[in-house]
Formats: sequence, C-alpha cells, structure tokens
Amino acid sequence: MYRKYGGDVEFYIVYIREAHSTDERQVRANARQEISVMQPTTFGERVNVAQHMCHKLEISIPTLIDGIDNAVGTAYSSSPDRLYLIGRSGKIVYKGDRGPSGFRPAELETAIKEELAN
Amino acid sequence: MSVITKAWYLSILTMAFLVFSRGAEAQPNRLAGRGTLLKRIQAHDKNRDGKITRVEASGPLAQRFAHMDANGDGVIDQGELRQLANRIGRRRAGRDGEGVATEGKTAPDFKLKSLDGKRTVRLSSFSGTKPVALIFGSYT
Repeated sequence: MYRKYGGDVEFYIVYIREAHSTDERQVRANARQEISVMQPTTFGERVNVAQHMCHKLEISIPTLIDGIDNAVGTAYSSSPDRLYLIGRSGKIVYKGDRGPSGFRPAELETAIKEELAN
Repeated sequence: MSVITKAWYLSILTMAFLVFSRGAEAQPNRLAGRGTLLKRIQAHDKNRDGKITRVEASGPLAQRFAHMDANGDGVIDQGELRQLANRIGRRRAGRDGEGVATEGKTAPDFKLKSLDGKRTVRLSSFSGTKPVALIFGSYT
C-alpha cells in the first residue's frame, strides 16, 4: 500500500510503547520466535528497539518515535496497534479499531481511495 | 397458548432482558474487569492470611512473582496488591479509553522525531496538502 499510494499519501509508522514486553505481558507467540524486548524506559532505549524492529521486519515506511511519555499513543488510543487516516483537511477521516483484531489494512485502503477521490 | 407456556415464555423474556441490560450497563465501566483479575490473584492466598507467598503462587503468577513483589521480600502483601490494582487500572484506562482522536474531528497534532533522529515531523504540516496514514504499533 505504501508503494502504491506513497506518492499521494504520507505514510508514517508511529512506534509506541511495547505491547508485550518480557517484563510486562510476555506472550508465548513472541517467545517462540525468540522476540524478547524489555519495556523501554528512556527515549534512547525506545529508539534502539524501534531500529531493531525496522531492521528485523524490513520496514521501509518512515518511522516516528513516540516520546517516553506516550503522549501521542495515548491521544490516539493506539495500543497495541491501530490505523488512522488524516484527510487533507487535517481531520480524521478513518479511525480503525484497536488491533490486533481491529487492525484492518483493507479498511485503510478504502479510506485512502475515498480521500483521494474527493 | 396455555397459561404455563405463556409464563415460561415471559420468564425467558425477562431473563434475556436482564442478561442484555446488565451487559449494556457493564460496558462503560471496563475498569470493573480489574476486580476479577484481583480476585483471581487473591485466590492464590490459600491460607487466607492476606499475603501470597512464593509457595502459594502458581502458574502465570509464579512467573511474574518477582515483578509483583515490589519490595522483594518474597511475599506479595496487601499494599503490593493495591499497587498492582492501581497499575492495572491506569493501564486499562489508557488502553481502553478512546483517546481524544475522533473521526470527523481535527487530528491531535504532534511533533515526533524520526527513527534516525535527523528529522522532526509535525502532523499539521501536511494539512491542506496531503492525507496522512498513521500506522501505530510496536515490535511485540
């Protein structure tokens, strides 16, 4: 989707607090894949985890890092993951449900098509 | 319809009403769930002395014992349980609250640093020029 609409839409990953860090809510699926991350307590630690994530998952979408106060993540009620589309107007035109079950890229794509058609 | 079937039918309706209306009532206060979790934790207190020792803890609680035993004395006491309840409450409030971001409203503005630290992106800088897709998430 990033490759398809990247010219017309700004895409950003906003890296927020870890949903399942080993010291908080470790889940078996992560342990199986040997993913173990402690909850970052400083901005620097958070940047390190995000860099590791982008490298491992081969992420090419520009990534922004939420502050250690989680201000943006909280304002967008984004944990553990969530999609948004902000229209040209600066208004929110699509607010996906909270992930993992509510994380639906197809809905975002529909919203993008509608926004670009306007 | 006989009187008995009628009464039976009515009682089913009443039960259904009770179940559904209670469900609706429970919705706004999701924090209520923390009570259940606390009760589950307290169930580990086998000798009911208000404390959970390492021996009493089993399953996920045993795994996370050190995390909950804040002062590291090998016992989860009432104070630590209270702290835990507050932590869960705060976390759920942050997670379950819908934030201030709402469809149709102006997106809450932010200024965040890029991964390489070289760039600062302000959301409102795209207003009037391009739509912005935001993908929130973490590694785990």
